[in-house]
Amino acid sequence: MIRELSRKEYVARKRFLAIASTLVLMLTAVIPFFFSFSLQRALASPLNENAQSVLQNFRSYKYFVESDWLASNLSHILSLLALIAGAGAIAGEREEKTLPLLYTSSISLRSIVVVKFCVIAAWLFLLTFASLGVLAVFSVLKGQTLPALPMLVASVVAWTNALAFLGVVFATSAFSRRTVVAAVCALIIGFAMAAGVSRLGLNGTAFATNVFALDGSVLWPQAWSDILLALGITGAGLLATFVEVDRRRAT
Amino acid sequence: MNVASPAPRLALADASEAYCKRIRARFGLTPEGAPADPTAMPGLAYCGREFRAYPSMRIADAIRFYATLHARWNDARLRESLALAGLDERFEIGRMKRAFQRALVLAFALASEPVVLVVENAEEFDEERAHALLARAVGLVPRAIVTYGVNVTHQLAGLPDAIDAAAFDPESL
Repeated sequence: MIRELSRKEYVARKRFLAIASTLVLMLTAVIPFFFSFSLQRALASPLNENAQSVLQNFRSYKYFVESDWLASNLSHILSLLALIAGAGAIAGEREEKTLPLLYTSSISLRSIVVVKFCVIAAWLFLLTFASLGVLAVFSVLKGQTLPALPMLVASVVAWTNALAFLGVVFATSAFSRRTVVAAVCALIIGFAMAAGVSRLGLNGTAFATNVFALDGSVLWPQAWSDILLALGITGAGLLATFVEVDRRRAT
Repeated sequence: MNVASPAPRLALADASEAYCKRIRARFGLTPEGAPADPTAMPGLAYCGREFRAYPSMRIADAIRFYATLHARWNDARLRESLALAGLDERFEIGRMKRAFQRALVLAFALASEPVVLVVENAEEFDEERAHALLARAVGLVPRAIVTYGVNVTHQLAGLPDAIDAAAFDPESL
């Protein structure tokens, strides 16, 4: 049953998954490799103090990759992809009017929701770690070695942040009739939460600030708070989805 | 489910919105057509007017998918129904005419070997082969309730048996 449900979810999204994966891997290859190179060259040129301080973060290729690419830029891209991929999870079924036929099955809609979530989460996981592989290859080409542990932490943070957005978009999808509405609502809620979390002084990436020190080492308390916060939001999103799906079925 | 008489074997009714709501309430279905308590009427197959199979799927993929969702699934009956309606497994559902999309949902419903079949807005089976499947379905299940939203005398003539009742009170079904 799980295999068929997963297969159906994959078939429904395969074009989007293929295009998005290719784009992300290309960006992962190009941006850290060339942009950090240009920035380092810029640092070598005479600049005023403000420009120097702005470019401080890019002084180390390692720091740029971990902190700016993996934990920030890639994290935002993955969150956005999670949002696009998940927006149609329930609202799309309503839009296409395929939900009633699912309701008549002997399988609970909760199981279907969980399978849908797991398929997108697994794809985001593969994409995150494929990006890590691409980064490793291009770092070797650049003659730099990147430390394994901070890279892994950055990838996990990026993935869990994307899961948080996925949880939010599943909830909005359960409440909406249209996929676009679900996506826009999730975007607003996601960034409102991110802004709120930042104001509270908590750490993070898509939902807050940074988990790496300037030397590229991991700031563990921030990393853990990020991951736990993201997983909490994911859980809350899925719970809201279950409640709404059950409520609609019962009324 | 108790199907003993005097309930009619085939009932036809006027498929107004209000009437469909009453039928759904009669069979313990939610407004979206889902059984509120799936164990209450296990032999009920409901083909609501808004029921659709995934338009991006081919029929073969849809069969594989929906077969996993149902506890009871008679594959031989499904294949017969598809052949009768002229549905090739390579067809993409979204490109099929509305009548054939409805026929496909009906074929899935028949595969679950229902005791009671409810088909809403049957006037949408306005293709000869799709209507042939509807006629077969009515002949196959112990009790069928078919609702029409418009006057379709020419279609009614194709149904296999005389109509037992023109049901305007869902409680009598």
